[in-house]
Amino acid sequence: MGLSAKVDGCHVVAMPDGSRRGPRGCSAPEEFAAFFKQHRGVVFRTILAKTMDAAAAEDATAEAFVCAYAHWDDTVAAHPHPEAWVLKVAWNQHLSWWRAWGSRRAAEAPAPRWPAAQVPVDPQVLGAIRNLPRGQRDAFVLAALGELPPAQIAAVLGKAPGTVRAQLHRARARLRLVLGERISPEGRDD
Amino acid sequence: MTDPARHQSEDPVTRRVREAFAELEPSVELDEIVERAAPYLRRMTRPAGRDQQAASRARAGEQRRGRLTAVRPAPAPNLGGEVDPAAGQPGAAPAAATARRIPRAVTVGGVKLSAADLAAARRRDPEAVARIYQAYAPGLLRFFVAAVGDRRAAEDLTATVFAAAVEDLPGFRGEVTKLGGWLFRIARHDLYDYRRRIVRARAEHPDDVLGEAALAEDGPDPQDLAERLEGSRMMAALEQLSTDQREVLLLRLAAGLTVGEVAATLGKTTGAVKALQHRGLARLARKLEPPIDREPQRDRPGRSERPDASSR
Repeated sequence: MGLSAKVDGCHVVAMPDGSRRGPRGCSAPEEFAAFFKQHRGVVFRTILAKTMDAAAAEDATAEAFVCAYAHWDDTVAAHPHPEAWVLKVAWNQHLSWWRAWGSRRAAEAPAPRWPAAQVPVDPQVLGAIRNLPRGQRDAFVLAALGELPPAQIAAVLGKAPGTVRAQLHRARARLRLVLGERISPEGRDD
Repeated sequence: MTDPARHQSEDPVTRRVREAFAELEPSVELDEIVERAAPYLRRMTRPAGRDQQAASRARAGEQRRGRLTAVRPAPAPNLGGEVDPAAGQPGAAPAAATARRIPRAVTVGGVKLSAADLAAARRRDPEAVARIYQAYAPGLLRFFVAAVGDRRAAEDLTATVFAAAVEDLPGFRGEVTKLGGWLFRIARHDLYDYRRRIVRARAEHPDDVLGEAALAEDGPDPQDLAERLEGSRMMAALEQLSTDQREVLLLRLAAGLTVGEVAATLGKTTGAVKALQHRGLARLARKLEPPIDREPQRDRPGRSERPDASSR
């Protein structure tokens, strides 16, 4: 263990004077509760669409909100786009988790695991999202399920806003082709 | 982000995808979030040195936040390894000293292990090594059987763990209480080595799986077969968990480790272990209950998968 320790996905940094810099907790539990209630579904669905793994999506959602709670006073409460912040944490949670356990997972699951049956979503929609190129899929998932505007998507993915807009446009065009014939003029067919 | 104007202007593709995912909610609750943040924040407020004043200041800050102290997790239930307080400090008042005392002995699987046993085992004293084996072998075997699903391979793996442990014990500097976590850490590494070997063997000879070949040597053992069949439904359900959830459940339930030991084995906080166990068990229960009156998925996506979503 060096100067900085990672606890539940958050960094605690030991300063030279012996103090520690890091999360200061949450002094407004009600605000956090409201934030949590409003956004947990969005975060979960976004990560679910990215990973197609409900269990992993739940874990990433929980980790992200633990982080948001711990950093509420020092970061999230004053953040201009808290929902984008928590989505980014969840998104990267998943990535670092994937990286950390990559070798182990490779050993465990020889075939790529896409337990689509596990995700109770219209299989045609799932398949269409899955077949998008990764860049387009990431941008589209964050826009449609994360409900973020292109500028925030760019912040989450670390890309230029123009790139994200282009990818969104292509993703939508492609999905319109794949899902097209099942979309009536009004958009719903029930 | 939920303003109506944007929903009006949204394109049909986005609406279609949103509708497909609507109603899916995670089984993550607010209590869990707050509880898991608590030990993490305590770590922050704990002073770096042994400055008593800073300690009390930190405690006061914690109480001001109120919520944090209120949700301090209850002591973990002991499944297998039980800390034996009597063997620690014979004359100490139990209530006052519980927090500070370093237990000098543990009782695992009915076998009491003291610090002296550990010291003797470090010198490779056969009797002490045997006691450690007696204490931890059943748990390790259950862990491997649950993880591999093959009794023979599990026995081999258990033996390998102890061979490695006896070899490395002189290098183990922890207390007796940490021995379980240490052994299971070795076990986990051996398990991944084993799986990697299996995968490689499967890639090279697709028809001849290592485990299958070992079984075929002298016909399947009927008891073994029954165990495998009975376990197969559980194994299928375990497959559906996330890797972290599965590991926590295997270590907690199959191997019977305490929350603290599992946390030490996996390098997680106890709060994280408890949360993973909770969610893993909930998911397992959902997977194992018989699929009663499944509604057509097109109408109400999500409902058939999560019957308890509305009640939580």
